[in-house]
Amino acid sequence: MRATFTEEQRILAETIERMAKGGVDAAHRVLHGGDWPSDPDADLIRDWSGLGVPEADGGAGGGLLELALVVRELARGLMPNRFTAHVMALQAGLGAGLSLAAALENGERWCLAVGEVAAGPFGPFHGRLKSGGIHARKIGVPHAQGADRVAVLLDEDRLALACLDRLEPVPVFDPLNPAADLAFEGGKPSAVGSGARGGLLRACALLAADLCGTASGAIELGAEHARNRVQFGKPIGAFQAVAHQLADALVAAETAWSLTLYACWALDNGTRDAAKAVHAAKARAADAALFAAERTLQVHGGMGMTWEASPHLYLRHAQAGSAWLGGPGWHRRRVGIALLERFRNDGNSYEPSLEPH
Amino acid sequence: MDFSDTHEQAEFRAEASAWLDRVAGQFAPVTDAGEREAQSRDWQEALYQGGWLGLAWPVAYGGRGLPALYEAIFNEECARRRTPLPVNVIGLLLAGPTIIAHGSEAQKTHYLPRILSAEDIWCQGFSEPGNGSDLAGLRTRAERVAGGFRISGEKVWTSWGHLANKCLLLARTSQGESKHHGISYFLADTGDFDIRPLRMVNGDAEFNQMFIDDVFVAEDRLLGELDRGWQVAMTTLGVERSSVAFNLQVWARQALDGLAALAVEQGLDRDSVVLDRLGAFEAEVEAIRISTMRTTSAMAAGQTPGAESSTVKLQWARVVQDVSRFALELGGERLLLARGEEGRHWRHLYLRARGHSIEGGTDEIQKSIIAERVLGLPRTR
Repeated sequence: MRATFTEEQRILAETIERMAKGGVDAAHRVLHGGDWPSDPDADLIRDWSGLGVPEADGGAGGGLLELALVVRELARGLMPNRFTAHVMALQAGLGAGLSLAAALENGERWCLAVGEVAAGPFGPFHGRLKSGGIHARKIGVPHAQGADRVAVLLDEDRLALACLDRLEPVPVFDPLNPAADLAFEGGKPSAVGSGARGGLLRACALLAADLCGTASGAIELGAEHARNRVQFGKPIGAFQAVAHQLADALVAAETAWSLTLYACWALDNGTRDAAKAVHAAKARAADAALFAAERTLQVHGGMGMTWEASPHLYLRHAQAGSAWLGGPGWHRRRVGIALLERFRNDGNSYEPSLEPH
Repeated sequence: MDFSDTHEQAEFRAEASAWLDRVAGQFAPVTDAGEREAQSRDWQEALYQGGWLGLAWPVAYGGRGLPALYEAIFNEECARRRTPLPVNVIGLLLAGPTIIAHGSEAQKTHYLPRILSAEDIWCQGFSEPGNGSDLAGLRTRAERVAGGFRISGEKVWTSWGHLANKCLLLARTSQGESKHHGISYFLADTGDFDIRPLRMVNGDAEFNQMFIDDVFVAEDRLLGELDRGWQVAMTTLGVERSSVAFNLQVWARQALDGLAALAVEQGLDRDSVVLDRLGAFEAEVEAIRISTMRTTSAMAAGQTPGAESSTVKLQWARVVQDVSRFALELGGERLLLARGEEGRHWRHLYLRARGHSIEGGTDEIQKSIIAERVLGLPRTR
């Protein structure tokens, strides 16, 4: 057991932290209708797409954990990027047994299409393959515009890789995640994989990391304001009613980050509790991000309610991440079911969650 | 970032598991206070004889000299088997580590082995009737006399004081330039203290009030330097916060497992509200376990634990409180107003858990620590 970051992991996080500088301003510009910035997406996709992909499959090695560090830093800096959605799709593909070598070689940009009007977070989905062509309708797909490939959840088991067909943009709620409704009407998939549920779990773990970053960024913004804003002759952070809200948010964020790191590790190592760990991480990270963003808005007072201030950008990104791939309540119930499983079976035995490998 | 056991750790875990499987069955949870006390004495003796105490303490003082991670592994295995607390919990968790950090060679050689064997049982004389969270304002006084000190004052909320013969005692030895200066830290005998039990809200007399009236304490009982006891006390408080992570995660796991069993027993295991709550608790309890591994690993790598122990302490208090409250909600009058061991267990746990957000530094103090040390906010007191 060495549950600390390696030097390489620390350097990776610092590198991405630098790339995410200026993210808040960029997010404001996107929300105000500005063009999508080409930086840092181009660099990120060129340099880091292969992270968490086995070298045998054309990847750069490392695991989900390394990717989680990247994704977290981008969200923490609130940097508009399609990289997160892209690697979520790649990792879903990896989990469903798709080969990523060609995609990495060609620098393809992927997105992940999961949600449907009448489906739960993990299904049942209603996509079909008919005469070799894909038929599916997906809603609210982040970063569909400009994607070279779409990883489409067909049903609970199959993931198809498709080109965009019909696309209808939806209004921008979260400036980091412009989204669109998609319809596939018979185009041929370039690949179909099975074991899509495992792929979804990998994508979920990364989304949890994104939410952890959102929580941390929001807390830092709130703390900065609380250090500087003076009322009654002192910084408002000197009032416990203000300070303790942010401390509560920090506890939630730390909880979520521990769960997320463990979930990534569990998936990479194939432990028996991996699915439960992912559900716990996604649930807790969504709660933490929403809570942190809401507290930060509150701590900002009247300024926090203005369009020009930044708390609502975190709030928007937190909400989008919370909704995508299932809300916290749904994931919590999955954790509850997993917990009760061992009590239904044999009363009181404790399933060891740490399997030496 | 690796959460799996090394070969040596896996071997240790297997060894600990085999021993616990053989022994832990005789230590099933009991609620009767007298039985519990006897049980915790027997449990300490069993741990001592088995060589499971002082795992991370130096071999020279009776420990096993292992990295702190092994303690975490042992506690995790205890959690799975619902073992009780050993009787000398204050000695093992607080007195030992504080003496290791600040004691003279003679003090370490004398006191540490006696903590493990429970020849000495310790209590913690910090809080006073007028000074709880504001610890540095304490009023117990130690006057210099030939060969030592004469101490007078009053201490309160002293857990296990009625069983203890030794006390980690803070007293003012001078009026310094700040209130943190002029406090000294003593390793006192409790023989001449007037110790009166205080009943807690669950009916147990687990904590006490201690009246100290002109009690002589010899010179060699001073721990650390005269007037500089505050730094020593900070070690104890730091250890107290992180000992929650190391040791009391056991309680959280046990409480939640009990609640899960209750939910199944009541046929509520498919109720979506119940699943939602249990899922939230499971995430919290897992997070405490994972944070512990992260903190322990960081310490093994030479980093000093920071405010993350406050984070874990807050989580632990909340989850044990919430779990026990939800158990009473699920059980209703069947648990609340009935005879029988199960009802007694949950009523006892629920009432006792209210103290978790107060003992070892209140929630409010922990949040202020986080606000100041992690978030860089100004002092809020």
